[in-house]
Amino acid sequence: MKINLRVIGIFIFCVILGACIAIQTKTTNSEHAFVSAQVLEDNKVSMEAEKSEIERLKGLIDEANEKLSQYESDKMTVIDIESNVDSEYAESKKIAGCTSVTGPGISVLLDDGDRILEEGEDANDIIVHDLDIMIIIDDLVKAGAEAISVNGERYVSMTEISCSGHTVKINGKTHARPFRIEAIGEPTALYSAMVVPGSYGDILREYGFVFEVTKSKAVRIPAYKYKLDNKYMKIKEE
Amino acid sequence: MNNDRKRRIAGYVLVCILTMAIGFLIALQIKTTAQSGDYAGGMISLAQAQASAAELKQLKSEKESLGRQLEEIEAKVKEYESSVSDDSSILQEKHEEIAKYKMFSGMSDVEGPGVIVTIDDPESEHGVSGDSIITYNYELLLVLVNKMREADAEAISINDQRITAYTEISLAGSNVNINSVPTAPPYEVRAIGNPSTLESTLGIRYGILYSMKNDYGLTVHLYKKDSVRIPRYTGVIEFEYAKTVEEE
Repeated sequence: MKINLRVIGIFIFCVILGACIAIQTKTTNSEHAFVSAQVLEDNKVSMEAEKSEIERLKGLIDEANEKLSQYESDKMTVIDIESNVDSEYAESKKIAGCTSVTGPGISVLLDDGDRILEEGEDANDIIVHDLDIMIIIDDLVKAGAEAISVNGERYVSMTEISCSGHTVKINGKTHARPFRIEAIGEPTALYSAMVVPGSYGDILREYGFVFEVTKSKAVRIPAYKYKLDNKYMKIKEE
Repeated sequence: MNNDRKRRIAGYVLVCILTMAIGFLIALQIKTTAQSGDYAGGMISLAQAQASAAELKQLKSEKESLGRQLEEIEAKVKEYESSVSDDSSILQEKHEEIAKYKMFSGMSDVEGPGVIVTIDDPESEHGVSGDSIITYNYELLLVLVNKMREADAEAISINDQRITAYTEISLAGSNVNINSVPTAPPYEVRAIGNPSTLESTLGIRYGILYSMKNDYGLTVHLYKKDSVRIPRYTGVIEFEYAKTVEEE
């Protein structure tokens, strides 16, 4: 009788334990759970990105709708509409970088270092590379630059900075050192983005490159001089 | 007799405590599995990951339908503009110019042949450290974009963010911001252009993709495509300082 009771007790515990394990496996392991939490984190960031995209698109839709309802209300004269088209033309041309612009901004002079090489260094260490120019441009854009040029070449959406030996190709044209990068925008913001300690410009200067930044009240940045020729892309058709 | 009973009760109590301990451990295990989504490094259930992927997909399709809506409205506006004017050939010409400028500056959706490059952190690193290699070496993305431009790409996007002359690629916290939108791996970089030129420029030995793979241990794939879609830039560009110079 005594033994029986103990056996029954253990039996019941075992059953409960077994059930627990089964439930546990069912709930968590039914679909094999080897996904790292980082994936979920990354997904979260991507979702944030999509949400802000959606907000931006909604803003653009509101804007377009407003224009459309103005047209539909019949209050617009032909002249109004023509001037609308004209201003859209001017604006899109300006955004594409196909007009010359002036405004306050900064001028950056970037050149190879002229210091004597230390042991273990080679000339590459103090020569300006395409990535250096790319990062400077990226920092300028981040600081709100509205127009940028490198050695008189307008920086547009498809501008490459292509290092080839001793020369650099920009917009398909060959250029050589030194590099003068000009940008229009809030001069103080642009200036500090270039010289603040820890910035890429600061690192370049510390390293022995020639890196001079000057603020200017009027910088003139030329238009993109080449033909817009699309061989491959076309406007998406529905 | 009394002694024997005492011992038996002690035995039951012990079993009881042990069972409770096991129960506690099981509960703890479930808790940790369920919660590990909150901090990088743990494992999460696939169901959870799938739910989040589904939500992301839904947001993407919502974005796409909004994009189509915008196109429709813009088409109507254009139609209005050209229907009103008597001399519509001049307007027609202007509209074509506008379309071209917008296409090149990244203000319209485009498609064409090209390549898709996918970049992801190595599988084994995932979650172990929580630090993403591609995120902390975001200048690799700058180099990739530059190389694509060298190969005469006509339009480029990273994770659906169009690369324009106003696009920054910058490290903000533990994310890479592109067009002020936070992005995370895996990265999908799209380019429209000559697929073979793009492939051979990017895939050159000791080139950018080689370096991503061999120096940084990233998982990189390049796919040639007959048709790649690249979305427009959705931000607003306003000029506060730059004034147009009237041509002489």
